[in-house]
Amino acid sequence: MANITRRLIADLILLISVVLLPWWLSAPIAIIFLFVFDSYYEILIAGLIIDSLYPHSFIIPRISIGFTFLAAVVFLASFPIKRNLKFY
Amino acid sequence: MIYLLRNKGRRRIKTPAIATLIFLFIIIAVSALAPSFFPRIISSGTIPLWKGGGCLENGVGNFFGFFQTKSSLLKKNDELKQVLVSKQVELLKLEVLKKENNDLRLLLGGRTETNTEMAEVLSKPPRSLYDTIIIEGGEDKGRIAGARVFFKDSALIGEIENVYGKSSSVKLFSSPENTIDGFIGRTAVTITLSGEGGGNLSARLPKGVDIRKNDVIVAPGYGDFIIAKVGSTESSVTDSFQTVRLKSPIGFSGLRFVFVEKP
Repeated sequence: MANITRRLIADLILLISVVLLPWWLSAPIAIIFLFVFDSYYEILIAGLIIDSLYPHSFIIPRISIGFTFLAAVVFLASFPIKRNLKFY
Repeated sequence: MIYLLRNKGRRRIKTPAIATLIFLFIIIAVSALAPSFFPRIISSGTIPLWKGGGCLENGVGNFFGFFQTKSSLLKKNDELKQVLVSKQVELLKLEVLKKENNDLRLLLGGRTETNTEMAEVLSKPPRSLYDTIIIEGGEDKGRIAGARVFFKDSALIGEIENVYGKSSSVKLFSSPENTIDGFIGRTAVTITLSGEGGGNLSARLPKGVDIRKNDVIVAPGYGDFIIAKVGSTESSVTDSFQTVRLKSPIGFSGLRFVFVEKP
């Protein structure tokens, strides 16, 4: 239960940071949460929020998916990294 | 006793990888079929947060302002008074020029003023990306894509790119990959500006063209609105062109209200 509460608070912090802070501040917050929590799917939602708020079409023409794609890459890359890291 | 670690890494990544691919596929499919679906939902949900965030910024600013020393405030006050006096003189001169300009336009049969509406800025750089700003009012206020956005009655800063239910996104002229035509205010030479991001623009002109630091670039059409100010020019001996570096006439971080052209 405590874990769920912690995760919900983290989600709220991430949501507020994505909407109110510059991306270079919210990105480190998202990466920290990615390593603190197991399978932090919320990072994909954070990417989707940024792409929806500030649309662009750099990767696929007329489709704004840059940050979602980047979040997916970081999310998947975190699994092998976490497996090889030891937290004290 | 030695316990071997169970190798379940590959199994652990398989499910998230499949889930992520499905998620990406859904996002691409929905965005391709209905491009404004996600922006519309998410922007309507974030308006209260932006408004709350604006109050928070002001609150934090006031809190730290309380701790400024009295002498620094007095010094700042004196400096601002001096600036104000010089600006008042400039303003008087501008009023005369504005009237003269309007009279000349009337003689030529052109329009003298732009019909605009004030809009609150909800998100601005550096919070927003790609030199865009989000303003209050969308379809509910009859905003249309392509409407020009002004700062007061002096600078033209961008155009509305996307209109949502209660908000609109404005693409600033300094946005990367954006181009806009204008002319140098002093010499009336046409110039094409390219957005560089961060409030910066650039242009390439033949070396012979007379352009100097602090020259203003004016938008074509009625109104004589400033779109950029020349910061510096660069050229090399081997190049027959010069690169002009320009800045947006206003600092976007202090932007609170803009004026939007009415249809």
